Amino acid sequence: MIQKKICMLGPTGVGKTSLVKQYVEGIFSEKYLTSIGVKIDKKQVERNGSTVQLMLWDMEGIDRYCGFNPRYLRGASSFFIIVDQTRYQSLVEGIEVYQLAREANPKAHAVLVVNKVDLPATSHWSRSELEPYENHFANVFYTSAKTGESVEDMFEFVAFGES
Amino acid sequence: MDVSLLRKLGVIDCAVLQPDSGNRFRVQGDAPVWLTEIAEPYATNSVLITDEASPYLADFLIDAEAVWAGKNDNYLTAGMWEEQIKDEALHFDATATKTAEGSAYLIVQNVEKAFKKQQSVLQSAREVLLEHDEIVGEHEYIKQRLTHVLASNKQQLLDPAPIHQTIYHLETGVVVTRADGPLLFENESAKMLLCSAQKEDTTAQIHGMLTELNLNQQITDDLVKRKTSWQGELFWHNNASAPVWLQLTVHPVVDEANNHSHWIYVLSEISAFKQNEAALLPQTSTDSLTQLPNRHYFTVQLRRTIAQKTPFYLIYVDVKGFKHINNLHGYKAGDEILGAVAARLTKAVGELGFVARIASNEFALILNIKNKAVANDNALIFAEALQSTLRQPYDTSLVQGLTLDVCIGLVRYPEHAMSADELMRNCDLALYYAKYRLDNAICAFSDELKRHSEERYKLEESLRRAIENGELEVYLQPIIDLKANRVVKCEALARWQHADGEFISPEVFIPVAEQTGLIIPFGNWLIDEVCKILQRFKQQAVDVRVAINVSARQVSDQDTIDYIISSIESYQVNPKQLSVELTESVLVHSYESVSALLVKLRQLGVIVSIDDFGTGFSSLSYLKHLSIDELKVDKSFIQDVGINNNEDSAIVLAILGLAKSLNLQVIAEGVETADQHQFLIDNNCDCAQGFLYSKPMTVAAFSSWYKDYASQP
Repeated sequence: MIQKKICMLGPTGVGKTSLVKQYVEGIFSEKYLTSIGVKIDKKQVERNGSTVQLMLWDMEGIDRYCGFNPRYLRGASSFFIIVDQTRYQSLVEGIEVYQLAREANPKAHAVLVVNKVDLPATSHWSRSELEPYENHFANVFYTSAKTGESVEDMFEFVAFGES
Repeated sequence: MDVSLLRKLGVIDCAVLQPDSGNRFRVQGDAPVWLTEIAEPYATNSVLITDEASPYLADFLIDAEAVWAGKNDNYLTAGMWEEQIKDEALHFDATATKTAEGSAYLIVQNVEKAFKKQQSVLQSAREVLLEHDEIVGEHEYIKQRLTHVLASNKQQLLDPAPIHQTIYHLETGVVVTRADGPLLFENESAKMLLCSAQKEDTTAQIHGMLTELNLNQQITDDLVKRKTSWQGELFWHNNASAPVWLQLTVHPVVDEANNHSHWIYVLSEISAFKQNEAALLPQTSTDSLTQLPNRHYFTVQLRRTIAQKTPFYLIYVDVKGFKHINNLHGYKAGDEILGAVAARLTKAVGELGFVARIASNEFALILNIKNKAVANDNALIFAEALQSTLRQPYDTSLVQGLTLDVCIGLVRYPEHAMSADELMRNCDLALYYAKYRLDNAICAFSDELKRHSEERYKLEESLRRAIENGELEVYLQPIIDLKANRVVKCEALARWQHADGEFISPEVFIPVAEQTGLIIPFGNWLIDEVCKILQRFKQQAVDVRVAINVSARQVSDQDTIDYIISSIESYQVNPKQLSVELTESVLVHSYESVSALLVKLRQLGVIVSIDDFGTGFSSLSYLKHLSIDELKVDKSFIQDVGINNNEDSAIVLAILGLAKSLNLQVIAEGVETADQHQFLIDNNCDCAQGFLYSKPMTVAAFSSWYKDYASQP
């Protein structure tokens, strides 16, 4: 069975843990509880008779209290950069995290995840603002950890690619 | 320490493991119950760390192996992680360490209490950060919408258009001016934030703020050129009520044809946010070892102090050679010493200011200048007293009577810099100079220091290129055996002709190489060149030893000896043809490294000389205990010998007597006259070097000079 290490990266409060929880356990909590350190979840995905085991490294949000640790990217086949569509600053910080991650692991696939699409698309930024960054990423997903929208798609993409 | 006892008492909840082979580990003492949940039981008192049991811990083993192999520092922590054990989430941290005796350990600790504390603090801190993000996002939105409107239709804001109405009632303050200054638009919130009465002019207040923030014409021109915004925070006093913290965005509206039409200013009050942040700071920004504020807290405090606009001193204190203390006495002893340094600093500063630990062995002090104890020139006196206090011996539970060398850099606000970043940069520069000054190791920033630093940086870059591009050349100066009157040795000296033709003296570039670490590639280049020369001399039947100078940094670098060995082997040189010269100051400052290096050199057969002998402070015991072959008497003693029965003659005679009793050869340096030459012969000095015989010359010139000298009757 193929095993793939996937890293969940991004600023604080964008919903990294909620996305993993929704995908692995199918649950969502409205309460914001900040993550500390790293938590690894495993999930097996099957398609057309082939099985992939995803090792999901959910990491503490990167901010002034927690720096970026390049060690965690070692051996990752893909990493998600997760941003919050209700917070413009999260896009700015997410792009900074992307640059650090790309430097730490030049080979891994990078996937941009714009989370919280269930919330009203606030005025602060529109999808057109992502255009300059889109070509850095293998794919872009617009997700809601709350409703589950596109959550399975994003993880299946890193498990099997576009095929 | 009995780990099992501590564990039973509940003081520490950890597993102490020793690597066995591969991913197998021996458990020391009793194993905690959770160990077999994150590692697979293997045999009695052994476990396997696997990807299946704990992928995080298995991944950490890659870095731990490097620690145990001595490739990294002797101590590395994994960082906190979570494991789901049955229905419970447990939190762990792991440490890979290697003792001074070479024993490798992996310590896995249950850090549940630390996790809960950290999560509770960071939960609040991050909620505050998210609030602040919302404000910044709001500014960004307003700025973008206004820019779009202004750039597409410059007249629209003059009319009561819907966007005008929307912005007018926003809680966020908005001011728009024309590029040349006149006010175009302002909303109620901006007036309330900036003006105490309706009659006050918002644009005047805005200009006052820009002056406060040091956003001068040059900076604003740059914003226009780059079509970018400035964002920051300001403690604003010029309000009728109490001072407030403001978040400010300054943005130029520049159209596609690069015409600058307007300035947009967006303002929000963030006093509540700052208060929450301040309340959280002591919890999130304290260094756990010393309980002093950490670098983040220090930076916030520095900005606050600047906002008060009263003069102060920023002082950096560096504990020199701390890595050596850790290596020699262990990390625990090192931590105790740092705690003691922090306590002395806190006591010394008292009510005068603020102390923080900003790096592993670096501390920062902010000293209020109103206090007479640190006013004006007294700051230097204060720094000297501080240095003296920190140099007093330290007694801890693990080390007694340890003394530390500390250096200090200082900078004064506002004379030496206005912003926090520039103050820190200039203080760093002053500290850097202090580190390389051996006299008193206290250095105050000055413009001259900055100029000197810029010049030195240029020189450093040129030297780096010179080493890479082969602009340096080896010159040789002969050394004569006085009894046999033949050339037995020569000293290799580097000469640098800059690409523009200028000769740069070794007295200028060697200190730069030493201070910047370029001395290592430079030293390696010299070792290589000298071995090449010796190889050529062998073919040309030039039978001399060649001496190279080795600096303190090279002595401390464990790779130096390997480089010498590999060059000797590569060029098939007889090690006895190579000689190494060390100054007395290297002996004094790096005795242990020198001792180890000299033993290895002597084992190879390389000849070892002490250069500039008599000018340093080396004790005679060094001569007795170190593996040395020769003493080179400094030219300052040779200058006046043979003229009268002066003190220098007496010193040279004493050195000759001492060397004879220790069975060491003596080389007199700087011989320029026949009288000096005769004095040395009369008193049985072995060898001499100086302009009387020859100046340093190119290798080709030396080769032919050697043959001429040998053929003299």
